Amino acid sequence: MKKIPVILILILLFTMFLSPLSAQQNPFLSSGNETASPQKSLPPSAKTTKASNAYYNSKFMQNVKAKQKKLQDKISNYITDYKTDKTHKKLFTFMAFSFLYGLLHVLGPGHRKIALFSYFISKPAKWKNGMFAGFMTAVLHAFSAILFILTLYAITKTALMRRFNDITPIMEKISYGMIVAIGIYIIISYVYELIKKNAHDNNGRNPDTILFVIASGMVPCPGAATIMIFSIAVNVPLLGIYAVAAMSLGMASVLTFIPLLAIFLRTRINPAEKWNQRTGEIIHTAISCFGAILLILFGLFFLI
Amino acid sequence: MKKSLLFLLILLLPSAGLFAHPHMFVDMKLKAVFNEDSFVGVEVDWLFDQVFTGSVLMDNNIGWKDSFTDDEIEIIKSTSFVNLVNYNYFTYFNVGSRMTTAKTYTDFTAYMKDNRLGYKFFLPYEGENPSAKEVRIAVYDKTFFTDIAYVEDNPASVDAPADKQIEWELSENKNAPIYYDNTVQTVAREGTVYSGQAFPIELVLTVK
Repeated sequence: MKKIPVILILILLFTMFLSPLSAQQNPFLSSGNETASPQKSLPPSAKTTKASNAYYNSKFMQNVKAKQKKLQDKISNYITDYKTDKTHKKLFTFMAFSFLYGLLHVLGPGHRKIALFSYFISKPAKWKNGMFAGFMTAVLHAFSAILFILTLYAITKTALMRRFNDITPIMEKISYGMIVAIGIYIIISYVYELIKKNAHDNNGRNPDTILFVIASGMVPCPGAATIMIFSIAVNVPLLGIYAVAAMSLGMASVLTFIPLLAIFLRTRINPAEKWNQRTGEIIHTAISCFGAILLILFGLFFLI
Repeated sequence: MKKSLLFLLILLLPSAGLFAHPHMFVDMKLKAVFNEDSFVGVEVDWLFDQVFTGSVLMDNNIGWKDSFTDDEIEIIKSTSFVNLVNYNYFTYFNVGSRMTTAKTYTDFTAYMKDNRLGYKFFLPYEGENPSAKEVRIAVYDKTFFTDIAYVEDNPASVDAPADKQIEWELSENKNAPIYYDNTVQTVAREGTVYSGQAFPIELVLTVK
């Protein structure tokens, strides 16, 4: 438990001094700077070409996007029609659509997949603990939206989306600050232990893992938040909670398995029986630091 | 096992940069406007998804209704439209190979259709060479927060003098990739950089 104060200090340092960010703000909503000049960026030049990263333009992703659109439409139609059609069959279908929407939503970029992967490369962990971290990240990501929107509604009643839009950048700043701090903490602790020749006894659920899950999942999912706001707008907030709960399970069905990939790779790279103890320790530290550096870069990428 | 690992890697790797995947969906119609001599601008018609619609109405304390008063339109504009100046209204002009962005708007109105909020507004072309023979208009959100797609029926039209013959088509411009990338074409929103790649579907107008 002595680790927690050190991590909290690092978090404080990073969140105090790093620049503001805004990764998921809705461009339509006014945040006080609408009098700014238009961006000077031009459309992409016809001369620029790059063959990499065809992923977004792949038919797979185009289909994912189109399916998301249809599912969101079905979900909003169901929420609108709920007052006149409350059958169990409809509710089940609605939950299934919400689950699928969450699943497709998380297949797109973001949702801390890189962070989860990097974190579990950075330290040895049991597979079930990795799955738990992935699952909880998804659940927290969605449920923080419920908590956030209902709290806002209890306080203000109106302008929920604009306030959500204004507050989430601060939460994201804290989130990425925490991730960077956790990465630094991991590096420092491994180097220290290597020097001291202490054996590791990690089970993947140290205090920094819990903090990591909080850091990863604390920022409310905008997709979940808008569905919550919509359900409040049509006076069926309970249905919004159902939808977000099903969405979170959909997202969890992907995120739960991301740490497994990292754990698997880590085990394959450094099997315990392959090296003598000292070499094994050095490789173990090198892989861990690599994962931690990835984690730090991920956090810094969005912070700076 | 290798295939499943590959699939996971495919899911994982592109997620490093681009964070704001589509959270709202827009169906769009465009009307290109010409006068006797040149390209004047484009009339944009956006119809939003119900979720965004409900959020805007809720935010502005406006009930579900079939039409808005002038005051309500003004409120919607000030809270949920004018900020797009920071994103050039997502609109890019390529006129006679001179590229520029939309900078101002006129004639904004908001409406409701099938329980969905719609915006109509005009983006005047203020760039060079407005009398060029080829006009390309691309509309997309570079931050990927908003998915903007053309409607299937009558996605585009032209408003021009009767004696002016103009043909149009929608074309994916493979030579103009949109980079959400910090190494090739930086796309930053208030300190955050996005990466990825897509190709804009352009409205291509040819003056005969």
